[in-house]
Amino acid sequence: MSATPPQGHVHYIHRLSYTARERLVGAFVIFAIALVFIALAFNQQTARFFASKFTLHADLHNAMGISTDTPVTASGLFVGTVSAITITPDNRIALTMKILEKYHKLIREDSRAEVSKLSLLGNSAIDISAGSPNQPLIPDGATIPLQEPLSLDQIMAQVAPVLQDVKTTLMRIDAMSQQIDPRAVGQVVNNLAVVSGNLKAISTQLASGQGTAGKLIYDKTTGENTAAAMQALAATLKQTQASLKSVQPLLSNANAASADLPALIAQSRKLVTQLNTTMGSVNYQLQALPDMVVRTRQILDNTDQTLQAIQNTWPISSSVPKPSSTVITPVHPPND
Amino acid sequence: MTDKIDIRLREQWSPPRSLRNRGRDGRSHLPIFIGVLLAVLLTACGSRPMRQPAVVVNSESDMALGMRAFQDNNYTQAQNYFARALTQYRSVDARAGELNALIDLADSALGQGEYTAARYYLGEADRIAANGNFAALRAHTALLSAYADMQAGDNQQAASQLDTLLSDPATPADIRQAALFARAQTAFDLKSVDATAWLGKLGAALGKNPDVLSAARYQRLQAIAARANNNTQQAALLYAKALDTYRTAYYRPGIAATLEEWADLSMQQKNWNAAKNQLQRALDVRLSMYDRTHSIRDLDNLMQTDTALGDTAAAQQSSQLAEYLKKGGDPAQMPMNQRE
Repeated sequence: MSATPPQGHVHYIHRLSYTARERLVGAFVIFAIALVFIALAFNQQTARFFASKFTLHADLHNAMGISTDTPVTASGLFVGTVSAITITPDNRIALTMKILEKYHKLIREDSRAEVSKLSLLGNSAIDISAGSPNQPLIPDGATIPLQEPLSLDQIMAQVAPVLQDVKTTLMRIDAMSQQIDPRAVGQVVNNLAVVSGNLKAISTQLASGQGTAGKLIYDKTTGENTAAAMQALAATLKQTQASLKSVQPLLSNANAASADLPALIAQSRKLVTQLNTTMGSVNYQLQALPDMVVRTRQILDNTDQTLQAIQNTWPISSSVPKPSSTVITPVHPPND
Repeated sequence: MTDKIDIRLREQWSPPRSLRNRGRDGRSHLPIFIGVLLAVLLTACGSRPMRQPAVVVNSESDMALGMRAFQDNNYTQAQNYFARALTQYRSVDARAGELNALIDLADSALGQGEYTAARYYLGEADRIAANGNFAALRAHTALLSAYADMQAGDNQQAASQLDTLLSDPATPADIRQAALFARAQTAFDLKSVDATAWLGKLGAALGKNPDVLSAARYQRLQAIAARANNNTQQAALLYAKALDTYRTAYYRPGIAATLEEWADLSMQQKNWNAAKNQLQRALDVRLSMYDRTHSIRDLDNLMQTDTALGDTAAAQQSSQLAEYLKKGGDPAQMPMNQRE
């Protein structure tokens, strides 16, 4: 029972008193906690926990993917996050934003907030425009006016009338082209050619000095030619008149269409601008895709490696079937 | 006695002092030691995964995916995968891999009746096999080459190749059996006098318990024999049995081929309604496999059947669809394959 602790190779911890040991453990714990706090304070992501902030509020109709932690930017700088989302009594969505105090100078009374257009594509963000330096700083807890972007439905609603106009114009052009009969035009051209031929013959005869106008009239062959030419000319003119008659409503349609053109062009420009904005956002997203694919592939490779390692570990290895090494299609009878 | 030994052992082995020490709460450190030991042992059971080069991983993956598509009778997709694997193998001059991929490509092409493509792949395969130690695969390429000849209607050439295969004692058993099937078929196609004898040889080779697909294929050959003996009733019965067997095994080429052969019998009997029904079902299966060659044949027969039934509109539609496919139209775009 007289157990004397051995003195030879005993670890120093056994020579310390209980209180000293507790102090030592306590020191280690405090050191570890301090390390955690230092790491947090120097980490870019967590450093903001300790930074002083002020609050801003904003109301909007459609949250458009905004959630708590949605970033808030001012002049392109990250200045804070959305910290809370509540519903107001009039069913609007009230956002509370925590903004870093060091950026307070950027946000003034005339600053305006805007939901980023990327929200349409799932990357929600709130951008606050920098205020004029001569304006006072926005007070803590103030409500900042927030402009919401058009939803996809709204954009489509704006595009729809333009498309309708384009469709209508195309229909008019189609109607115009339908009403022009290529055969009628061809016939008119043929007749004109014949008439011009006949007229040329007459002028040749006149030029050949076959006589005066009286001789011209009383010469039988020339008279017949003239009569035929006149008849053909009359018929051609009649056809031309008919064709022009049918073209007349087309021309008025064309005029109507051309009257709409300036408005149409203006709407189209607006549409193009809107589409450019959207495409800009899409491009931004697309540019990130290749990198994302490469990273995903790397992650999948690592996962694959981990899974292989697990599969090679007993007892899992005994229950996982070895992959089939069949490389040649099985022999089978002909089917035909 | 046993108790004494236990006591001795216990006396001889005593855990180290650190393990015998007890903590302030009186617990021994021994369980922790055992736990750590077990963890170390478990870690030792693991082995480091082998990391193969990307080309090997990709080609093996393509071959496996192609094989899976082949087993599902999706020969178009199988050809895509095998072609990708072939490109990978060629990029590192892996001759054995190339040969395997070419054989698989040929078999997939034959699955869709594309015997010209199959002949091309087999020619390439023969070229590789001739310059290496690939004797084991020559029998396989010879068998597929005979199948291509059969599809091309060159039954005499096919029979000659199959006879060579069957007379070679080195021909593997599975290839010998498949060659027997093919030889019996060619004998019936050539209307040879020894066709029944070939069927008998095949029956003897199959034994009493053949696998389901072999049994169904044998029944189809028996049906052809029954038709040759003008026993159409027996033939229809055998086709019905074969169809049931194929349906149980979900084997699309077998289902389609049986329906086509049965439709041929119905057309021969001028039972146009039955023929139309069988052809339509066969066409549905062929189109689902994106099988252009057989679909054209089915549509031509459908047109004939519809004409016989006096349904000119349906005949015209079949004709138009057949023309579409003959001009290189995509079977995937056919109305039957456009179901939501």
